[in-house]
Amino acid sequence: MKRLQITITPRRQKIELLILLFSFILSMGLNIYAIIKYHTQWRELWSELFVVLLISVVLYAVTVLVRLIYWGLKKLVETGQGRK
Amino acid sequence: MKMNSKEIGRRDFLKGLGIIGGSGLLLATFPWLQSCTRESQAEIKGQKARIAIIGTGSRGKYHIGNLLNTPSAEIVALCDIYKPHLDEAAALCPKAKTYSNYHDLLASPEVDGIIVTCPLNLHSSITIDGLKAGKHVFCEKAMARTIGECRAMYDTWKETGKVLYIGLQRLFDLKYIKAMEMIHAGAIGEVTAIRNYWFRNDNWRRPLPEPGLERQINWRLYKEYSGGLMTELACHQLQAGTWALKSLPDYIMGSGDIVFWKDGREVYDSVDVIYHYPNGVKMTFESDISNKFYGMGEQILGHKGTIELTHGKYYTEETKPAAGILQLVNQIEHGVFDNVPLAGTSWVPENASTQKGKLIVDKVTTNDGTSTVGAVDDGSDVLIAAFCHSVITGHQHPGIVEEAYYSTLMALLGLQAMDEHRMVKFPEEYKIPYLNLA
Repeated sequence: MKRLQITITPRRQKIELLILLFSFILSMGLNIYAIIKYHTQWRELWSELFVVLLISVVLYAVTVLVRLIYWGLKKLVETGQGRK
Repeated sequence: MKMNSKEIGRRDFLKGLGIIGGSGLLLATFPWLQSCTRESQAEIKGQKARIAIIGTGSRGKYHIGNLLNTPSAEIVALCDIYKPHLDEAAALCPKAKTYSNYHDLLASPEVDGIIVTCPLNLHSSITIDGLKAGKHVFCEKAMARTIGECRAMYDTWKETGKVLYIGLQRLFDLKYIKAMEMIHAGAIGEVTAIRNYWFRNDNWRRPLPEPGLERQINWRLYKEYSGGLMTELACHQLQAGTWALKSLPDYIMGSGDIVFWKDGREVYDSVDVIYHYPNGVKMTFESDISNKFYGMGEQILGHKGTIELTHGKYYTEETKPAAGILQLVNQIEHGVFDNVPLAGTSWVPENASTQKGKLIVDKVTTNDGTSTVGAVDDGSDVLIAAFCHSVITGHQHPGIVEEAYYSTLMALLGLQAMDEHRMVKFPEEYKIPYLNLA
């Protein structure tokens, strides 16, 4: 049986961490926007950290999904061109 | 000295009130609690009130239990015309003398105070005779069968200067006291409505030892002796009106019927009464004894909150808003997933609040209202102890008679409105000097 070996390069790890960090910053920005918009308390900056982290993960997952779709389509197109 | 559970209960009550050290604003607002202070308890230390019980049925025996647990009480006499009840009571307190005629008991110099636990139609005559005989009197609620009898009892009490207590135990129930304190302090804002209800699924009948004793044993079912649900149940709950609002209704309307228990009884088994106050606030009482699903409840509604007296809980109208981020997520979710309306919604269901509420006192004892004899830890034991204190000192604590007088009047006026199918005005001539209501 053929063994599948996936290698995550240091560059890829760095990119993924940067995307996750960006997702967290975006979530935090949304939290600040919501506090201002709904006139709630500033202590929600840390009291709602769990929700912010959850949204960060969701955003990161969305980027993963989008990239997987992009790479999948790209691979399909490249394979098609190779056969010609 | 080892304390029994009742004494511990009373100690908890005093602690809960926070008046062990005496004084306080609480005593000014609820003056009948003066007998509960440490100073008042010390005043009667080692002394005993010599108490007689007239009427040794279920409620009489319930109070014997309370008296046996009250260190300042000694049961010296018992009276009943029904011998089996008298014998049962005598077995509980063998040292007590027994009587079959209450006049003979009242003539005894060994009796300081009497507890009247007879059918309602006898409350007035025995209480008046007792006061005139120089005895201090504790009479069970309701105060009397008619408003005229209530007034006669009140006037005799004033004339004789003796102590009179009426058995409205909510006045000594910690959760009610604290709730009223909150209401008067404005915790629920302006009181806008009071709702009372008491549901049971019980025919209210007691088993008959002999067929001929129907009216004596089941006196609650006959108009000659009782006002039915109004005098036996409503009387307790209607007190919340005077207590919370410090006001009297200007008119009363209601409807009562025998809907289910068509067994020869004369009193209603289903009643709905509305008490209208001069400021437009309405207090309702609803009772039905063929369905117990909703149990018993007393709810004070204010524009800032709600208090459920029976459960000892309060709820705020202004619910804390959700965190900003959650509101934003909710808004995005609605924007994405909700259907685009073709026209604005004309009706949205206003579901009941799902708040769990906050307890008014740390330890709340609730009663479901099903007991037809007497509930546990409902203030009755403290009330009896307070009466014994007053018997020893001869000091009448204000508010007890007046609160009972008005709650009974309201119960009886509600009954009158139902009997006569008309709106009844509160009679001016029956107002007494209390809370500047006269």
